[in-house]
Amino acid sequence: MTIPSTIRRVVTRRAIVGLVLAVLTVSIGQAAGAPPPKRRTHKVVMEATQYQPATITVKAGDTIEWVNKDLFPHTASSAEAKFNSEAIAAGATWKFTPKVKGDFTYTCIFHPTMKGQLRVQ
Amino acid sequence: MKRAAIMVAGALFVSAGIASAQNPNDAQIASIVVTANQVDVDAGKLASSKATNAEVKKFGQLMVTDHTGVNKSATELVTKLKVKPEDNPTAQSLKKGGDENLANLKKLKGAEFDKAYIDHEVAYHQQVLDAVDKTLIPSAQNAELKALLVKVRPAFVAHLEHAKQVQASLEKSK
Repeated sequence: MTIPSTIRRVVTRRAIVGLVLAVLTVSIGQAAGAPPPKRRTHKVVMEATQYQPATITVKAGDTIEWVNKDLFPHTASSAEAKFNSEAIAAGATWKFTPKVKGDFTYTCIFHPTMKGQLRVQ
Repeated sequence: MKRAAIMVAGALFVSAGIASAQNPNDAQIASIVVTANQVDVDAGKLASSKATNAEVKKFGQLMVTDHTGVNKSATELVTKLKVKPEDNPTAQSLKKGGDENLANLKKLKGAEFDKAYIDHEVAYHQQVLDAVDKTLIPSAQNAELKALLVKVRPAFVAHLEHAKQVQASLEKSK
């Protein structure tokens, strides 16, 4: 049995319209309902010539804020993770957002006894 | 021999400087704190200009920066508390010891200067820490003054450890 060409065209057109509507619905649903990736800000306090906490675990894309509560400058510097705050003055803060995952050590270039670890997951 | 005697004399200035601290009052503690920091700033300035070893030079610069920062806060605090630093035998002998150390260091140069400076820094920070722990913190009456002493104590510990590391690296490079 052959289907008249007029009917075939109508069915095909409706299928295409349906498909387009379905795609649009899914896209709009995703845009409106899916939560964006959560970006957190973590704080590391530089006080008593130490990083507190000494080890911090974050997700790639999170931000770490180093707050210097000592009476003299410190840095947060890592050759491994390729960041260097330069001098963070007493009372000042410095932020860094790691993009690369891994475990990195960092230190204060002024006070080599200060050691920190940054874990980026 | 003469140089060695000068270096030993430099270390002795330290013990003579802090040994006399006995239950000072807050005004006297303020004077001791400011003097102790200033003595190390002055030695650091000399080292940052005269040291030949890069680590010793950097350490001297660090002492200038850190102890200037501590003194700024100490001065702000005593001004706020309306405490007038009161001269006392401990502060006087710290100043005298610091002046004698500077005079001693000025006679030296090159590796001898570097060693004498860093040896004195190790001894000085150890002595200051002892004074902070045994005399200054226990004697401080004002809570904010005591809190400042507690707050800066870890910096003295870090400086002592750092000075020992530099001292060890000088020994290795002999």
